[in-house]
Amino acid sequence: MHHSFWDKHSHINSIIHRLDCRVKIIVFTLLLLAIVTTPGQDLIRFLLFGTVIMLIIFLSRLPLIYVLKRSLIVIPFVLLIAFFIIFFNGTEVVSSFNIGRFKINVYREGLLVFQNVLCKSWLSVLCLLILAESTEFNYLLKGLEKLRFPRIMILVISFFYRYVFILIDQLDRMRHAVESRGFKAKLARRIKILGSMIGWLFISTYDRAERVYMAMLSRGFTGHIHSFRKFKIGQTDIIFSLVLLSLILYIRIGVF
Amino acid sequence: MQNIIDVKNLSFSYPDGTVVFKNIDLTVSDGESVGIIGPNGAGKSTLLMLLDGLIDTHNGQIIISGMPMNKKHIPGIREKIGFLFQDPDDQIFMPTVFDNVAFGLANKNISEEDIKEKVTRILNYIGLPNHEKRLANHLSFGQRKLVSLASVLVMEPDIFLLDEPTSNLDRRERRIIIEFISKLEGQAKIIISHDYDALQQLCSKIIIMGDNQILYSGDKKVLSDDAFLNKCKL
Repeated sequence: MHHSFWDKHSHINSIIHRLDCRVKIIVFTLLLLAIVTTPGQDLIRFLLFGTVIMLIIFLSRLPLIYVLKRSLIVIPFVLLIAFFIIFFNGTEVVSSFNIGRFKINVYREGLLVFQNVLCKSWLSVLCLLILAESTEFNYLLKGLEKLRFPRIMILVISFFYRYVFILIDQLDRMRHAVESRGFKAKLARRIKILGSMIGWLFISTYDRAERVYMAMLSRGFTGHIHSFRKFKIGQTDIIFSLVLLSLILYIRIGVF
Repeated sequence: MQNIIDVKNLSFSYPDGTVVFKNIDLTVSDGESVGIIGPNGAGKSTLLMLLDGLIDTHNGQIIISGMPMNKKHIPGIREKIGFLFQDPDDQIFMPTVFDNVAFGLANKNISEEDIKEKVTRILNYIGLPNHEKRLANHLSFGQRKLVSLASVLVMEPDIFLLDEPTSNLDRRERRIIIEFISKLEGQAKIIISHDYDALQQLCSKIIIMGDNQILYSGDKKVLSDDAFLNKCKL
């Protein structure tokens, strides 16, 4: 296993890292809500939310390039979902061009939807990344537990975090096994082999996951999450949340 | 000496009906060290999982430290047992070395200070000092095996179930693991291994499993009896 864990920057010493986990979860959730409820055409508000997020990244001392790079993970999904809306959704044509015999129109309404989806999803992913990267995973789960988040959901997240690496690991091994035998095939056979690989991947990771679960049980796991971090809301937590919530409220309902 | 593990008429079959073993009896006394050998698929690892209550579908009786294996006693039984899995990657599921070693202690609700002290002590003991913050997935296979062993040792169990503790290790790592196991003199140990030299050093009694049963239970001299081992398909 040579992949990194998601919370690999959680040990940095910064004001954001030191905040009580519950405060962070609540403030970031409110920030997310403010972002997703902002009207799509309101580019200035999105820019202001982006500035706030950059400020939090700066305070958290997380590597900016790393966070930005990871946040780009959302782009393919946005393109897949929203890109084609530009050409099909709307009545007001902004521009048009030809592909062969076909005339393609770019609609203003479609562009707005695209801008809306892109800004909201990218800013939301940035928020979640800061939260995940600045908080030790077990502490985050414990925080959710303290906030009365459903236990079954916490366990699902906890197991997902543990097992996703097993899945990646297994996938890597299978890829190496295939490549080491000089695998070359036409598309139809490739798809067939890929299908078999996915089937086998699930069977083998299921077995592995069973053994990991057994190892957890053998060391007394009963479904409760343990974290060594203390839960204490101090002055910094109160000041940080008040400042940030005021900013969020001002950006969300202020007149620009 | 008092029996710490008492197994009577234990049978186990897979859900498809394939019999793994049938009506086996096994006793291990306090402080005794028992080696189990047998061909692959003889049910050695399954037996260890049954002893730790990790598989609950079986026929027969299992008594650990006077507690019969049932839902009520399983948590108590698991507190008595330290299980080292064959593949350390099954046992390492937390990000850092500290988190992995501390996992079992945290489940026992031991105070944070005590956990830190115990983890530091055990990591020093196994030769991985100052490794607390290291990401476990960046360690070598041998180091991961040592971390797995540390995560079991730190629980201070009365019984050790060790599944292939020396497999896939280089000579030095193998020697280190054998040294640590041999120092566990007061506790009962069941060791599954294909490493007969290690079993010679660590065990006083050998059990040979095969053909759905226990083929031999007795002195470790059997490990040098090639004719008998061949007869047992070993």
